[in-house]
Amino acid sequence: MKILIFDNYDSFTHNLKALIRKAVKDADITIKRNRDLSALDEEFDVLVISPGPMTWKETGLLTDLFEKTVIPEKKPVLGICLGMQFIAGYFGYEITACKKPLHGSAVNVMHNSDPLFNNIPESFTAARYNSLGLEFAEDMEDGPLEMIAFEEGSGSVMAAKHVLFPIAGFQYHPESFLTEYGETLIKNFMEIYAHNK
Amino acid sequence: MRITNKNISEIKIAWNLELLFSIADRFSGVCLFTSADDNNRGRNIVCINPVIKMDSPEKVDTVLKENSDMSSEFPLVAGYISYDYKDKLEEPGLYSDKHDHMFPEFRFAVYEYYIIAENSNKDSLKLITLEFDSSHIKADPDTFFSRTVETEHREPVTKYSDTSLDKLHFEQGVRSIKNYIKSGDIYQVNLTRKISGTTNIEPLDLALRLKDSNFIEFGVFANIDGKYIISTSPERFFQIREGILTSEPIKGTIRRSSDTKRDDLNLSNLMKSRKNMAELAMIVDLLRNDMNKVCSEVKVTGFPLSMKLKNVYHLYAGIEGKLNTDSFTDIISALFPGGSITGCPKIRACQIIEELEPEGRGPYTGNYGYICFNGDMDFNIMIRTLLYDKGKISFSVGGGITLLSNPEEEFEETIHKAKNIYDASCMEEIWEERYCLTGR
Repeated sequence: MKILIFDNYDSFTHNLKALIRKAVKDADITIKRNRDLSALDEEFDVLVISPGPMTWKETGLLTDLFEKTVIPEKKPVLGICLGMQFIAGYFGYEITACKKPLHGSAVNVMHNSDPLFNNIPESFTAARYNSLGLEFAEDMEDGPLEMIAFEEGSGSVMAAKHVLFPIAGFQYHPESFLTEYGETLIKNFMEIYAHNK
Repeated sequence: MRITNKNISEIKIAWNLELLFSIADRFSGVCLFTSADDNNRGRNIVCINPVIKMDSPEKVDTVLKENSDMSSEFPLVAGYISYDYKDKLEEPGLYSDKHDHMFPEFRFAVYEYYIIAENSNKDSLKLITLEFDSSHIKADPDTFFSRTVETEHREPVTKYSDTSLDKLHFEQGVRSIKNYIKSGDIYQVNLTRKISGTTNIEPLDLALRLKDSNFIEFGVFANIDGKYIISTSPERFFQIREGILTSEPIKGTIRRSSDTKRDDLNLSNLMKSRKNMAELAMIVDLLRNDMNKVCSEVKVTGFPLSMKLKNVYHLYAGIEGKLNTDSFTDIISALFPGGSITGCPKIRACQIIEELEPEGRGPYTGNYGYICFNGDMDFNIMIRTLLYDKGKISFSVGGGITLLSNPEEEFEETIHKAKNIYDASCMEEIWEERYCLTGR
């Protein structure tokens, strides 16, 4: 299976690659940086959007890639941190300053038993590295994304998936050594969205 | 040029670091040293008379290949990479051309002679002699161990000249970084400032005054074409032994107390600090990332760990991985510069450093170390490092800035970190530093 990691000049991209390689046996992984024009011509089965600095609008060619390939071809997309923020921003949600910015700290995440969290306890430990994010609001339920996990306490959105497209984002860092069930999460995503067993 | 022969002899002589430094001083050499602890572990290496010089990682790889028959622990290729070399190892256009030109940016060499002195054996040392396939300037080993007696005794004076960021500007820098963190640019940035002065103390004496200032895990005294790098680094960047790459980043230090209860309390406070723990977690994830570029099976072997030294406790973590390459170029491109002195994400952190620090860092926060022909390597992080050129000295101090940082405390911390160097160089009291009257 061909996996394209779209790298936003991040320092955790290779951890993500190592995690995917562990979770997906036949993974053929390519990393392209977000300014690299050749990313637009790359063939792939799954797109993974890396974390990264700055805001979801400063992700180079990512919007172009969505418009050229991802949306027309309904490609599966897994977004991490900035990657989730891009997904939310792209589909019209507002990314704001977090109630509680954290970098390198573990928090408790609660999920709503969405299949993406199969074999993961309802509450688990996960690392956060973000100042910006998606805060829960009542009118969110009308939008195209379903919020499927939250941070205990603050209630900030920790995971969201599109209701029609095979697109899901995670605000926490499954690739961090502080996070539990990172490998299970990747396996679930690939199994459900890319039919990879 | 190739190495054609290697001789090892044992020399019965009572040695100390002063002798080793003086040999490095007299023969364009370098002494890599480790403070002796209670168990006398660690060893010191002096490299004498550089013969094959290399100015890029690719040239290091060529020399390693051409001499692969030397595949044992000694001889070795010793040298350093300046922090400013980072733009040569990244995509062009990411960094500005802010460079400090006091020292060459990349300098490694194969030397004619090597001395190995184990801290556990103060009465003898090993001398390794190399021969090469073409002619070169030779050093005379008969003069290595005959020390000239110093006669001149001057009152040591070091005058303060400048700081690259005074209190006002340093604290503004801390505030800018906190704003960058809030707006999502970055998780952490290491901000440093350079202090410069003039001195009448000879570099060898400066090194001798500094060598006992703290526990030195990986120290350096190097004579580079008449300029000197004196590093009293407590921090190792990475080590490679038999294909296993390990790194033990330190984040957080606390003084020890002679009172047992107080000492225990200090340690437990260190282990409880939220700021330290988050910084350590971040550097562990960052190092895992960099190691994953050239290793498989990268794992965290300890988090958090505490290290008990004579004067201080350090908070640190252990990470290791199985190396997939023997190319020095690949390894250093993956790891350099060390995440503990940049911030995270690394590239954006380096860009913010260029914006906020008025000068290039030069060798400071680069790495000094060695590469063996069997693939083993060992590198420090050049912090607590004094640079010397014809009576001019400079050294830099700084810290990791996070959202939890207080600007005044961070500046105060830089003075605290500079104290050992101030004391050792007899730098005059610089109360302007503290009260921000440097005329900027």
